[in-house]
Amino acid sequence: MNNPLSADVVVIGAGVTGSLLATRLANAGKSVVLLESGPKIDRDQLVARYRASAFKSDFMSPYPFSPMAPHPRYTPEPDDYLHQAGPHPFAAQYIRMFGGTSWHWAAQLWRFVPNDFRQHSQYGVGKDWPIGYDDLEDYYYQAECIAGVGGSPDNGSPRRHPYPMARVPASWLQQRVTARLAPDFTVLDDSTGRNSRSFDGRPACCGNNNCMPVCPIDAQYHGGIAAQQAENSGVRVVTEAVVYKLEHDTQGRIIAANYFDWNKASHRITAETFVLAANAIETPKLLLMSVSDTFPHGIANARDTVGRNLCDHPAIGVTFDVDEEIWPGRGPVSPCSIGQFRDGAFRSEHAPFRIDISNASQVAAVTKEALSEGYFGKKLQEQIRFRAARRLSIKNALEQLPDPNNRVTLSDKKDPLGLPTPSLFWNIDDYVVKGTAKTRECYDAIAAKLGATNVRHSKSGKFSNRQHITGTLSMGLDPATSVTDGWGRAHDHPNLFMVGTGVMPTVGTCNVTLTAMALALRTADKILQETQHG
Amino acid sequence: MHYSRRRALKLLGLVTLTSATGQFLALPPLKAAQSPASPAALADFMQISRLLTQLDELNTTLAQALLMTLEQTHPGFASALTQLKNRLQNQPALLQQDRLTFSSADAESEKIAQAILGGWYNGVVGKGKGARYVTYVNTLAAQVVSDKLVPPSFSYGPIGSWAHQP
Repeated sequence: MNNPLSADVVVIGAGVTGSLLATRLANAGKSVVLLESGPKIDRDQLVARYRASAFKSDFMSPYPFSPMAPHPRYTPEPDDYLHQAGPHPFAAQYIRMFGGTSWHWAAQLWRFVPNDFRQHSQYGVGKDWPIGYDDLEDYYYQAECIAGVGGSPDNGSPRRHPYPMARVPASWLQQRVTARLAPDFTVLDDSTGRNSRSFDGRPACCGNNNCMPVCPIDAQYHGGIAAQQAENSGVRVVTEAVVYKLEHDTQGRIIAANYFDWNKASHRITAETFVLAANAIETPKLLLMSVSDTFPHGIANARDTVGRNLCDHPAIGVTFDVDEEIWPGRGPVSPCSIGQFRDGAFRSEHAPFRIDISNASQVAAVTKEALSEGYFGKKLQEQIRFRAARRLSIKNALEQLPDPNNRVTLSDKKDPLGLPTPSLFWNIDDYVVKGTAKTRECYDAIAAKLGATNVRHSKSGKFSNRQHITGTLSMGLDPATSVTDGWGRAHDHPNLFMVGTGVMPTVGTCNVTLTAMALALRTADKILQETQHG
Repeated sequence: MHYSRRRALKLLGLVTLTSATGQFLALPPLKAAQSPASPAALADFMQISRLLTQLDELNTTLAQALLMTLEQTHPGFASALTQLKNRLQNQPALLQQDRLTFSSADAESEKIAQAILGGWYNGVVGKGKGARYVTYVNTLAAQVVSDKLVPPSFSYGPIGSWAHQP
């Protein structure tokens, strides 16, 4: 095992944001060590594991479970790594592995809309960010250029430059749904990091329809690519390194990170600057574990703010059979959405939302459905073809307001290294419930316009997670209500920075990774600015 | 172009089946019963499978893999298979229904019939901790839609080829 003892900067977590930051720092001449709790697995192994899995609908299934760096898993049975302490389960699906959770995504790389950053002053609910859209616009574009992002330009997020990647052509499904829902509903191309041409040594999309859980050809950008670029840039990567405690000096500066390797041998690494990038659940866990006499409640937690304001996009869904053949399963799985409910005066009353239209193959789902209904023989074949050709699946992304009672804490359970596992409390407030009612009205209107039969709404009062985990390391101006400042720096620890979706004070109505990438690049520049002339 | 893609998929499916079966045989929990199914059991399984799927052309190699996995994961499968065969032979009206339902006294036969159909169509036998992957691209579900779709994770075609009406 490669065990470096010191570096200019130690980054904890080799997901997309930690890797981007590490790459930028290394390219500027910094010595950087990137510690990753999980293993390094190649894409071809993941694809093979997907194809040989008995649980293909579980996006976690292809990703090896590592007892020494456990993550949530749900098949063949839930592992209960996450203790659920609240009224709604927060079924997070993150991956502890070189590259992190954006291995299993649809490369949705969206900008927030400007009003997302001034939610409270504009609508009287939620929080304002300590920065605005204009502070981030250039970094959004930098991140889009790195990932190769394309999409619809008029989606509510102003741009100074056109998308760096041309759109991926619309599937027949998207064309038909777009035409039939107009003008009541405007269907737009999603903003995605998916190649429509060869780019960055990766091919154009070939329509494998497997963006989730893994793109077999790397046509879409993901954290594994970012982490490899970090390593190629001279970042020293140590995998299977589980950081369990941060040490500080008398001024509160972080001086060392202690980690276990998978044999439970402890190692200590020092640095001038530390960056936590271990996702919005594992980073709070590390901070809460790092107790001392000076900081008895953990690092960066003098005011009991760490882990609070846990947010996601609670989602409800609907499926139905369209009155014409649209054949989902040709092209990317998540190509388009309806964005007209993402912003407006109504945000003072109820949650805004985006409506996402799936193009994922429905063959496996409708086959199980028809079998469970007892079909066999020729009738079974007819039913599978009929439903697979017409089944449309839609879900939404509702904005949840930050609530300090929704939080990550430490459970009483321990993992095999003796480290506590996370406990989550998650509730859904009336703001979301009212947004849910508006969404259902839209679903019914959409179904009617598509001549739907067999309309099935998700169970009332139940919400699924979209895996856009935010808020637990919120940036803000007031240390009493936030964990980090506008640069992602811990309020009480001047050389400790945090990146990733956890620093986002609000969750907006779009996928959160691009905003986290932009923030990480901005934090990297801040670190360089402060340390280049030190 | 469609024709050649289907041809390629079928060829690929054959190769993958061989590979998948090899992997399946090497799995430690299944090592105890690697001996191939008896010819008589396989003949019964093929006969019942043809009745349930109403397909004459079924892949014999896949049938062997499914039968072996069902025998390993369903205690008493051999006798249940015989019982199901007798039911289907003695009560031909069962196969005249739109949906396959047995009398409550024959719940086991219905369960076994569902497991057999599930294996052919999903490529998976069993549930939860007992679930076993047997095949992917060779499932009947993939075959039923192969003129329109390829199984997820396999290439559909060049960029934009999905824009035309299928």
